Amino acid sequence: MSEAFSTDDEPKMYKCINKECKAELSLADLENVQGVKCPFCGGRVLIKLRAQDGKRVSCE
Amino acid sequence: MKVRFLSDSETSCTAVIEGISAPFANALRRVIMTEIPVYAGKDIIIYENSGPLFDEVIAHRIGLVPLTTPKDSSEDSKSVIISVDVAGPSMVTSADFVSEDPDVVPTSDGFPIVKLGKGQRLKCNIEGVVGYGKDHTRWQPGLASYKNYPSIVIDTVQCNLCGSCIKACPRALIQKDGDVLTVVDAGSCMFCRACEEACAQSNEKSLISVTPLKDVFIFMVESYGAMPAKDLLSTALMVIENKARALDQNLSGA
Repeated sequence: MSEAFSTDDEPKMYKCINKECKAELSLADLENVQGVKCPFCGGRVLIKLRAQDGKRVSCE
Repeated sequence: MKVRFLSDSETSCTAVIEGISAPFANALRRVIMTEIPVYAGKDIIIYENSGPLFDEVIAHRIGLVPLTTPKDSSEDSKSVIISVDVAGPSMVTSADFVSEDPDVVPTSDGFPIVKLGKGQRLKCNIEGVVGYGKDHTRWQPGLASYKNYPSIVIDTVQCNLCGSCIKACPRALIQKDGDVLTVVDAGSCMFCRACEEACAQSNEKSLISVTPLKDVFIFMVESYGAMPAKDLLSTALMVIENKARALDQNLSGA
């Protein structure tokens, strides 16, 4: 997996679901390619990652 | 005023209370269901949920799990964090809840939350806070109900022991004891008046009268497990007492 586009200070928001890639991507990574696709493998299916600090949900 | 317990267990109790009015019995019932402070999940913080249910569905299910509550808890009691971290394949139940306070735990280990498949995981923290049933049903500590105690009077002088009332009673509360009719377990009467009607058909007039006593009540309390049923009664009385005292202080200050 190439780290050419990735910048460490950007939070990773998406993940490529390609079994051989599984790259975690930031918004900056996606801005460097045309359309919505993984800049490393070209995979077009990305899933959104959960925030590290958790998601607060009301029990109502 | 007299109180006699017919049954008393951790989860339910039934008492015959003499010398109270219907409005007071109803106030007690309403306070038990809506104004006793108990712990329940308010929010959950989800760190990972790769299972089949949405975060909101899991939060709703977790919120409805009743938690044990110390008797002296109040609105000012601190919140309790309960953590859950389960990896599939398994069923996540309330047995997987790890509480930081041993006094605030699920009332049973058997509440199912979600079934996880292979490679799925649920990791979250539950924020348990004290609340009231009037705000949401997850803070309702139990159920309470009451009914008037029945007075079943049989005119034994004119009764010809035809037995029609014995056949008519759906709960078999009237029995023949020698040459008189006796009432067993009058508290189970549901005021259907089938005995009165059967007696009136067999005779010129009904020789049985079933009437509710105005100041004697059968009070039933069922606890969901937050605290023993008997404690619900005593806590509810304390809530009423505090309200009356607060009103009295405001009146004297006005």
